[in-house]
Amino acid sequence: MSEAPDPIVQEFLLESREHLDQLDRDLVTLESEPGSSATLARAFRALHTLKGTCGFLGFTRLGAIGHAGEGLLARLRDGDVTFSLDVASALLTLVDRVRRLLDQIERTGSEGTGDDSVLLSALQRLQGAPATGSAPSMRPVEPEEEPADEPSGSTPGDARIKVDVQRLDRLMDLVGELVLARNQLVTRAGSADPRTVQEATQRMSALTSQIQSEVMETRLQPIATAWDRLPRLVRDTAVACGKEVRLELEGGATEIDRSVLDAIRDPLVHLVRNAIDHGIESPTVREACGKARAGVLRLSASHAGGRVRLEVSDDGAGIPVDRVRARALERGLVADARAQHMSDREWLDLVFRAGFTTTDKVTSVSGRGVGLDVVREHLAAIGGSVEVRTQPLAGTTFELRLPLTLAIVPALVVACGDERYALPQSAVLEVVRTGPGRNGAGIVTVAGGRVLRLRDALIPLVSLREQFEVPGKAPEHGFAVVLQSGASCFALQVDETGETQEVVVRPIGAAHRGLAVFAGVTLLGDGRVALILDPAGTARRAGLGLDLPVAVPVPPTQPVAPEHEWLVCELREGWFGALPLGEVLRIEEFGRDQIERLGGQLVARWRGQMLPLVELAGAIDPDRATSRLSRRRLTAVVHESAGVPVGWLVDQVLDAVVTIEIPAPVVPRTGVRGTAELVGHPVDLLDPSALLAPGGSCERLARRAAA
Amino acid sequence: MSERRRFATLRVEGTLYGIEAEHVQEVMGPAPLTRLPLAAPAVAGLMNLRGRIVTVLELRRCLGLPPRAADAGVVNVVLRAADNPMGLLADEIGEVLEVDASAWAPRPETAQGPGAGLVSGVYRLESELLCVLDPEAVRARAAA
Repeated sequence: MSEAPDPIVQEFLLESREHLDQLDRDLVTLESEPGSSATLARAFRALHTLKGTCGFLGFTRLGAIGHAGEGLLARLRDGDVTFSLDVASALLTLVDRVRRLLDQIERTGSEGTGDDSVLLSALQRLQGAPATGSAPSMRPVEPEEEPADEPSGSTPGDARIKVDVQRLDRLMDLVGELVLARNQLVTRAGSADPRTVQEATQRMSALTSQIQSEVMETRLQPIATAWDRLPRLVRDTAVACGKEVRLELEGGATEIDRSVLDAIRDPLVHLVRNAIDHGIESPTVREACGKARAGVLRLSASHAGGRVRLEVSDDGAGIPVDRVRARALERGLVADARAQHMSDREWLDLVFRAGFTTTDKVTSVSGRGVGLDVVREHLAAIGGSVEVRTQPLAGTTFELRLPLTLAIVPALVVACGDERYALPQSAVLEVVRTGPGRNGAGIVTVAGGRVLRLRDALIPLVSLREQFEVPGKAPEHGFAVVLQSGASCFALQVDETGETQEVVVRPIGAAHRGLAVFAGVTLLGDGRVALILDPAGTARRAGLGLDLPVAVPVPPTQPVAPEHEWLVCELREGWFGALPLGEVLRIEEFGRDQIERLGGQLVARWRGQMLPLVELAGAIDPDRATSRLSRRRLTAVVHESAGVPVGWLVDQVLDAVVTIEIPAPVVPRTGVRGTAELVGHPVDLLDPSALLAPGGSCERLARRAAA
Repeated sequence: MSERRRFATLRVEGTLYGIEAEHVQEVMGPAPLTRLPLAAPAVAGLMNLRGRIVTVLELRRCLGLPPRAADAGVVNVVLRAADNPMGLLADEIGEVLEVDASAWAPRPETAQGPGAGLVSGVYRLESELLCVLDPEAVRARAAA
């Protein structure tokens, strides 16, 4: 940032960039629909406003360029000049030039000196051109001086966003309430009655989470902001490759966090270029195949399971799996033994390998050393993923899965000695216990380096204690966390693993930016600061070559969904169980007087209906049933499975946690899907729908509800 | 007429140091610190200052002094900065002194120790010397 920017100039920059983006889109539209007078008029107005403000602020260079462009647009509007490729190129060059001047103004405060005569004369010349369509020349109007303009997509002006005033008002209201709650807490802090303090605390915590979600929402932006510049990019790339491409955008209103948006701009540019250069065929080839001359490039975004799915698909030739296979074998990327068992999908996945390409020619568009491997790496860095599907002759689809936000991420907290560190859950493949007397996973030394032997794979092992010089000695029994880093993986040896929790990621102070091993810092529940590890940085620091391909071991159970959310309860003393959080309606406390017995079934009046109450421990294992009727109050988790609400009685509700996978149950029973180590205890992961299903201990409840 | 300047004073290993009062945001007791592995030697760790994550430096390490005895007292002087406050651990805090600008002398050239770069000059007080710490130079030790 330059010193003390003039607010008027700042405003001008922000506004002008919006005008330019609009102009970009309009010009590309005009190329395909030269007759659209509404679009022309809008383009004219945008440039006119820009020019006017420039004059007011004394930016003469911008003024002159704007004036020449406005003249040309006026001639187009009046029908004196036809919208040709030359006209489009000239006007787009103008947009680029203005954009660069704006950047310069932002950096230095002035337009600087420079020669715009070539551009100006081109604009002038085109105004006088005959009204008949001139033969399209592929030559850009003005290739001079400019450094290669890599569309990185992040101009300095992107550091601001617009926020809905209503949303701000709501936030302000909430903050007002928070202050009130704080005051209540302060006055009640000395009170003898712990209940009043508890009330105030609860209120405060509810308000805090509301504020958190409101603030998160202010950071959300429609994904369309990431593809604002795509029409222009597609147009330029198509012209450079001699292809015809129609861009279709769908689901642009899908909202996603700013930070994610910024992170996907570059990968998106790469995928789009790749699709046009390698995917879509030239018009003649397409006609020969019986396709339309213009290829279709489609981007569609949607929300799916708490993440955003973004698809980039083309209707081009597809990726020939045979060629991928041949090329991979020729270059020795895959061992022969493995090659025999690989599916088409696995072969195709090789396109994300560094340095892999099926084409021999390097064009100006693709093949600049940025490959799909970088796309995958970029996405992995933000906890996203990319997969590819293809059909010969029908096209290729890249499917990106993105997290909604980077500001709050699920993290696995691990401990080493007295220190705790957070690992991004997206990178955690598996946690295994290490130490003597364990089957399957063991630590062995190979040529002086330690590796984790996990099933059939040997995974390089990095000791967190040694890397970070944590004081103390490693305990005999510890844990190894298998972490994904780029295409390879490594194991991190720690003393203890805790639970998965959502942590708010804060940047690490400016002074410590050089420490690439940390992705940020966060505050844990007890107020202590914890460092968030960057898996790739840690691996580099430990001297692991990440180019070294390491087979990623297949986890013991395939995760059904990316993650499972659970509500952990103590079913009875010493027995812990977790219910799927998604189906929990409410946690209720019933006094004894609210509970009745109806035909042998305990029920409570709840939201105008009779809610059956079932003792959860007994429903799973009749031998471990426990009677709570002597208690004054009963805790029930109101849970709806298979459309039947049931109040499951438990001793107490402990916590909500997220697991990545569902390990096999220790004691298999109906209603127990698995057992996991959570909140410091083995916890049975329960499936109440199995209890209600025919044959389950509570099937009569389902039958009664159906009746 | 001579100018008066106000200094927050602190002591490390018996020596009196001063930081211009306007640079000091607050002084607090010891807070739980999270060690920052691989960081500059002067960094004692990170702490949670009312929801803000603040880097804390150990003044003894900045000055090349031996570590403090385990049972010795410690104070945390938080240096003011709009975007990035920083904590500074010292042995004890003294009072705020107002000194006469005419009593100032530049850092003696014989001062060559590891902490020399942090001291911009000294004030001659009646009984002892007040070494003036340059907040920016101290801050820079977080990265070195």
